[in-house]
Amino acid sequence: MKKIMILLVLLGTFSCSKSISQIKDLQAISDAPKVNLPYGDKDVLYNFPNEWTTANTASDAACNKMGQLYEDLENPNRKKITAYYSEISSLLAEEFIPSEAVKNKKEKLEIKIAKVFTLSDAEVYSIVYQGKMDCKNCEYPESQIQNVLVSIKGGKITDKIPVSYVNGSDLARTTRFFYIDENSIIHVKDFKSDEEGVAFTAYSKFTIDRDGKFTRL
Amino acid sequence: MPITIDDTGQTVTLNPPYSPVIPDDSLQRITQVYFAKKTVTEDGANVAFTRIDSLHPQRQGTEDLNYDSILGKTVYLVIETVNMDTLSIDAVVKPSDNTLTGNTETLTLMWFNPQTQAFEAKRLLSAVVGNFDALNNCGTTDNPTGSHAHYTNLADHANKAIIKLQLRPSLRADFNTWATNIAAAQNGLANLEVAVERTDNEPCAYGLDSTEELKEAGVFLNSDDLGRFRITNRNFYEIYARALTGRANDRNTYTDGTYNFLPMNGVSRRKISKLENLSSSQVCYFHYDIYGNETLVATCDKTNVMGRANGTQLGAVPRGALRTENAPAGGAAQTNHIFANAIVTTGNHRNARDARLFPGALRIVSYGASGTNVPLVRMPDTLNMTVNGSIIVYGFSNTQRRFCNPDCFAAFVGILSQYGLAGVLSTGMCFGDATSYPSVAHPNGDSVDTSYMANRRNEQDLLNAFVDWNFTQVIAGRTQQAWLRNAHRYATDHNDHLHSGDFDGNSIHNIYR
Repeated sequence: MKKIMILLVLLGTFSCSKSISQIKDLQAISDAPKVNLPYGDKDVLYNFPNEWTTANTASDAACNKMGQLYEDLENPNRKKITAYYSEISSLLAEEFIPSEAVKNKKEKLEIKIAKVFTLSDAEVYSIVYQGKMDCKNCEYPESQIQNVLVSIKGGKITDKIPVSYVNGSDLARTTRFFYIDENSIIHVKDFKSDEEGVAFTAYSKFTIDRDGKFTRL
Repeated sequence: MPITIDDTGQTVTLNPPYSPVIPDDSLQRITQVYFAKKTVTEDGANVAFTRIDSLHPQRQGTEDLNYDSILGKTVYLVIETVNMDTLSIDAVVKPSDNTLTGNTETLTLMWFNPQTQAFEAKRLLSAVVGNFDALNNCGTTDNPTGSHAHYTNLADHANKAIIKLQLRPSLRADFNTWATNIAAAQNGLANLEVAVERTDNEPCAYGLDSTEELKEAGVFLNSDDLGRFRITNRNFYEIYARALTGRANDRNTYTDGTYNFLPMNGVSRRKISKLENLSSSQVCYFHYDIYGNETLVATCDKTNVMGRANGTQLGAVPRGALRTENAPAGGAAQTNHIFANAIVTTGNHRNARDARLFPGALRIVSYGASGTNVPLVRMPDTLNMTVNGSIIVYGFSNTQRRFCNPDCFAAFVGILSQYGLAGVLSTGMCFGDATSYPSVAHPNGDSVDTSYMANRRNEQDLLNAFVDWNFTQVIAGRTQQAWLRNAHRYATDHNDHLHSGDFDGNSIHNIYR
């Protein structure tokens, strides 16, 4: 019985379904401005080879054109909310690695919000944010910028998917870019890159149902 | 024995009898002859001369320099007189001993001709007391010989004859000979002295205390008591500041300083000149503000080392290293494994666990020999100086990659001068062996990397300065820096540092080219 109780507590802790009302000061999220489809970088649809060097090839040029993540980060029209990590962590990608300063409430995080889909039973928001990564021996600082699509239904987060990010440093990083077409198909491509070259590692497509659940095609 | 100067500029020893003239109340006297730097104050209105000789040593920081000028440098020769207004005076410059040329014959040096605004070889130098053409600024289409009328205190100098010259011969081969001779001297110095007399060969007195006019030349800078003029070997760069004229389209606008006489490079004037001295392993960087005031910014050690290709990551250090050496402490590099045609560097940079190459491993980089030597200077760890109200400041981030191509560093000084604010932090160039661990892409120190600054206008101004000073491959990032304009390329591998590379070395005026 005791083991079952512990398991239930753990399941509750890791549940993705968290009441939005429990997230302090985020009631204003529903006021976020809406973006229009298609949304994202159409260059994601470019037929990337598996690998290429960083010389000025067509692939490199296409890769470097994908700037929606940064435009979202810069977009002054997005709803801005600044809060402690513990207050908004459920809105962030699970891949986000908070710095010690962020974890220990010495620094707050700023998230920038836009509404992407209004579904019959749910709403989907784009949450963009950035943060430094702690690194003792790094001559080149490491950082992360991420854009997460978060589905909210009935005041609860029902699903989320990081659709775009740059994690790492100028020496090496992993990146993901996305494009949501007119049919609401979410195209996502993953890359690994460093000073010498880029590897195209994955292409995923997702749909979203009326409840805001993302399904890989 | 008394001497005189003949028509060719040679000094000739006079035979007795020579006739001293009894002075009257209007004794005509050449009181002092000295080499000097021009010092301009009051926003360009006030000019003065700062003596440079063994009694008036130059300083770098808090230390007196053991030399007064450098072979090839531009200096002013100032002849101070009494009761000699409008008279022409001849002057010749001679070695004080055999060090420089193997004899003490009069030197042919490069005299600044105000009419042509160019330097020309000349042995006999002449100047008229109270004529200030040697102080002319750079000419314009309307006034090709320039002007000195902007100086409001020229009356203070009415007793002076002024000659502007470069301390070098016309031919590169002769320069090399002189440089070799200086290098062979025990103290690395050659002393120069100056003989002067009236062009009309009439008598005059010499020195501050002389009471009789002599019909012979007077010699100055020829004793320890009266001062000696000591020249030495250095490579040097002359970096000319630009004047801020305004701001248009969110970009500062500049014009060249009025004392930048360097030749044009297409539609714009060159901003840097250099003189390479094969007998010296040191490089002096001189900054000139918009009024022509000279500041010695830095003296750097110069080396020539084997150039390196971009690095390649390895899974392990190959067998067969000739030797291992410790990498400079303070950065991520730890050990260099020296091979015949490569340096393999290991260190404490660990690749990310999802890295494209060797995920999770401590990075090992092989830098192959390029087959061509590259020059490098060891940059100062920091610069922090104020010139004409503008500051030249930089520091390094957490890196020991503090070696740089000498041309690039000259341009960097000019960029800092143009930018003129604190906060520039370099993320490093290369090590003294031209490698760049943990980076594989920055060997040979031919680019300048800087951290982005939080203030956007400042970062934009700094980027503009890199472009203005002829870095032709400025790469900015695509995150926080997407708003930056004028970069040549934008890429995700420059989200944390601005890369300024491919400096156009041809934009530098090479004095002997």
